[in-house]
Amino acid sequence: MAKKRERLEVIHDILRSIMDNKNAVKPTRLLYDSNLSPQMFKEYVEELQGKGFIEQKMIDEDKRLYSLTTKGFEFLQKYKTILALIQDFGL
Amino acid sequence: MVGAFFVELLYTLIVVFCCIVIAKHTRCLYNLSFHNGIKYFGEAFVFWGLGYIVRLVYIISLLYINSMNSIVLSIIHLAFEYLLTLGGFFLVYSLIWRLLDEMTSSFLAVRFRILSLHLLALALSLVDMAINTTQLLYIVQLFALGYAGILTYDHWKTSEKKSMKDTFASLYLIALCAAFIGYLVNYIAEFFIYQFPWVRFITYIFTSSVFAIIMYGVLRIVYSTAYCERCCPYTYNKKQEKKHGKKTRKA
Repeated sequence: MAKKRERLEVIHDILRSIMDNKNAVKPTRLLYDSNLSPQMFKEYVEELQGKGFIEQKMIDEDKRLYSLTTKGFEFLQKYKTILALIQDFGL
Repeated sequence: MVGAFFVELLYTLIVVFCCIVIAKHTRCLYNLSFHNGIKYFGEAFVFWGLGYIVRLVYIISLLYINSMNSIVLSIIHLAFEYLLTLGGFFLVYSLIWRLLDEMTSSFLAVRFRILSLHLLALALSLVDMAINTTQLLYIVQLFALGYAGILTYDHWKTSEKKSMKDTFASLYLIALCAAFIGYLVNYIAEFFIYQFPWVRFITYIFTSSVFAIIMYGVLRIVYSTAYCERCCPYTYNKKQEKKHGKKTRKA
């Protein structure tokens, strides 16, 4: 059985998916890429929006896209550093 | 007297500098990750840094301000003990928070645990002040360092990652053991063997080396995995990739 992903890993996967999709991704595509249940996905996306990692852009009345903010990019750049610190110090 | 003050000043400056560097970098990473372990680890060094500043103030007060009110002196001493004890508690908490959160991670439970640490540190410092000693401070620091050492050893030993033993984790484990031995020697020298004042000087070297090693570990992680504009995959497009490839081949 596959190991359960850590919270940080899930966040990385979501942000990475947005980045890989040219920084504009539909919610359905992001849900598919993140490999989460719809309920968990909603919680994560709300958290990421609240903390300023991603933003929602309305294209039409019923079409919306997610894109990374500067903070989201910064997270992806420093992800390895964060993981190394947690691993090396056993945090 | 001037020599003793110079040693104390130098010791405090080294420790405070290390604490500032560690706290600054961990704060930056916490603001991005919101990882509680990083937060508590950084806070431990904030408390230690502040504790050492207050300690220097206390020493200056003892050495140079003869007419200082004894109540003010006691309050400074209380603040110093409280901050150092809290530093030890937060270091241990940064290693066990995950286990405690598995039991209950509600906002109130987490707040209650943090508040308990503050109250316990304050209570221990008050007891020390009441019996006019620093014995409890030493015992708490020894407990914190010993327990942190055991947890780190356990993490180091059971880590799935084989390369773990080649990373900073090994050096961190050695640093914690060295800090424990340093504190133990200082405790024995201070309370049981009064005729060796130089032991305190050796302990200062030991302790400042431990802080320096931890600072080195944090800096090594921050700079060895730092963002590289040329290599970062997130800013790549095909045009850049071709350019980069050509440059690498030429080099």
